[in-house]
Amino acid sequence: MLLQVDDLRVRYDGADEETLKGVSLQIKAGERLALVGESGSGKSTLARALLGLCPVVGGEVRFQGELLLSAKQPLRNQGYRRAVQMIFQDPYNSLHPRLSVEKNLLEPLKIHQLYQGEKSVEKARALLARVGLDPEAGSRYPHEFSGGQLQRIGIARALLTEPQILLADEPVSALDVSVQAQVLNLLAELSSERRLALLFISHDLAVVRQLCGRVAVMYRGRLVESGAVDDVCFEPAHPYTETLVEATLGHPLKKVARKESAGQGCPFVPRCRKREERCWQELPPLLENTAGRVCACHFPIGTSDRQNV
Amino acid sequence: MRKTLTTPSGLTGAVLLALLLFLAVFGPLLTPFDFNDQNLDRQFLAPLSRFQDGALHLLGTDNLGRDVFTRLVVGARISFLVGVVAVGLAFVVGVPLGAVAGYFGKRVDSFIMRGMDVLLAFPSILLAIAVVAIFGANLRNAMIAVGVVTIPVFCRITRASVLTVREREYVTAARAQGASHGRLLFLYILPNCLEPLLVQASLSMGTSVLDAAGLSFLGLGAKPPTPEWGTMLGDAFLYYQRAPWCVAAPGAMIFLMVLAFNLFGDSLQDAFDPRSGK
Repeated sequence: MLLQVDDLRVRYDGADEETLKGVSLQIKAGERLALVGESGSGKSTLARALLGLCPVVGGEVRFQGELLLSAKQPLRNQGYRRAVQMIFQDPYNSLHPRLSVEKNLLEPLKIHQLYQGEKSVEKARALLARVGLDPEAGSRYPHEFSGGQLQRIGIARALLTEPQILLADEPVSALDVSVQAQVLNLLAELSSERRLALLFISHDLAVVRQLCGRVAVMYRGRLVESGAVDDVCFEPAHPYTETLVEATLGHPLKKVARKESAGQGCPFVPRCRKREERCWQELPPLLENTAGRVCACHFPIGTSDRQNV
Repeated sequence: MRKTLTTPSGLTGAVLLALLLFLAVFGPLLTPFDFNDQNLDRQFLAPLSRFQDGALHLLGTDNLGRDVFTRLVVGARISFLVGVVAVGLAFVVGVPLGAVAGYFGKRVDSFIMRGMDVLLAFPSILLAIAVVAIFGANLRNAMIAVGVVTIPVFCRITRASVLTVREREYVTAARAQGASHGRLLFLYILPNCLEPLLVQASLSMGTSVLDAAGLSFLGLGAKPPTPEWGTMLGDAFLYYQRAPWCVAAPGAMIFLMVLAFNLFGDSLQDAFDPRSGK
């Protein structure tokens, strides 16, 4: 197992409740895992926590079996930082505006003390060419590029330290639809050719199905379902996943009257079409119901009562 | 910079500044007199009058027969010096303090900013008077006093900018790589905070010149016979009915210099503000 996250909890300073309420997941080498969920579900927080950018209050993160991050142990391992690179959501803001593209690209190498002068510059130029840009583009500044080009530069920067995992936080949501597909294809190619694991964060299941093999669904800081992409998309077990599938794939679902929750019990209960008395009282545990498939619901959707899909 | 010069007020400010700077640098070469030449035969000559020897006193002479124009021109040097030294001091102390407060936050922030609040709680001229009272009244201490009073302004602006810039994604990206605090602060954050600081530097030059002139006027800054504008104003004040030009001339110079810095600073601000869209 390349990366193993166990019961990870994050709580920001001054927040009433945890933003991540115990998330566990594993990523194998070369695997592409998607993380989906609505805004505020904690997807980005999870990615940032994996980079040591959030206050972790519980749980642990292991990389290649080695414990690197927990509530008691802030992230200090530079080797891990080099192996886990991130691609950001807003390409316009993810490069230093006063440094040339080449200097931006070389920054990670300098920080990791891997900078080797001409050799590193050559490597940066080769990567620019690999992501589909003119290698001469290095001497220009970020404001001279379009969003799609900037995102390619961001990908090149992430690859420069030869990582094993790429965290991509909604990397195409700020881009034009026509450019989105190109960037996604590039990510898919790079992941295959370098055996690069991908944690792909998105709210768009259609995008996820193109790119990833496995998907994990988050809701309010918890994992509610995970499994193979096609299984989850075509046979969602959790009612929340069902609404998410509906939203992206366009199957209309019966409207559910919202009700206030007392706070205990299942977080999705106010919006759930299958809620029953028990759901208001008791938080459903994340259980494996069929092979390779987990779901946190007292009454998972079975084949008999699946709507429309 | 080019945008600044295309607005009418920015251009006015820049031209005025250039003119004042020219006077400060080359002015003394343009007049045959020394700023300290006293001549009781030439007391209170009106502007544009010629003495028997044919020498032209452009702005007249004062109670000791000194050429007012010559003194103003030398005074311009002093005023620029005051502005640069006071603002420089405020910049050099205020910017690092504000950067550290904004970057580290929490207790460091509270500690530094409460200190600044104390400085801000005093009216600035009163605080400057206190500083001068402690260290003695001369031009050097007046410059230091004005600089100290300006520190909180730079500190707060830097802190506010650092707070916004440190949340940008390119800073997060460097942080995720494990970049050191020094690298983050000096390479990633501060260079992107410079614009509001440059604007403030220009505006503070104006207030510093004014404050220093005020201190000198009160006799707490430059001492006679130094041709500091505030000092000249203070001296001439005693006989303003006899020789109003001795009051008007340094007063106008102070006014022009403050106006120039403010116009320039304001249009610099507009030029940096992307919302102005010019």
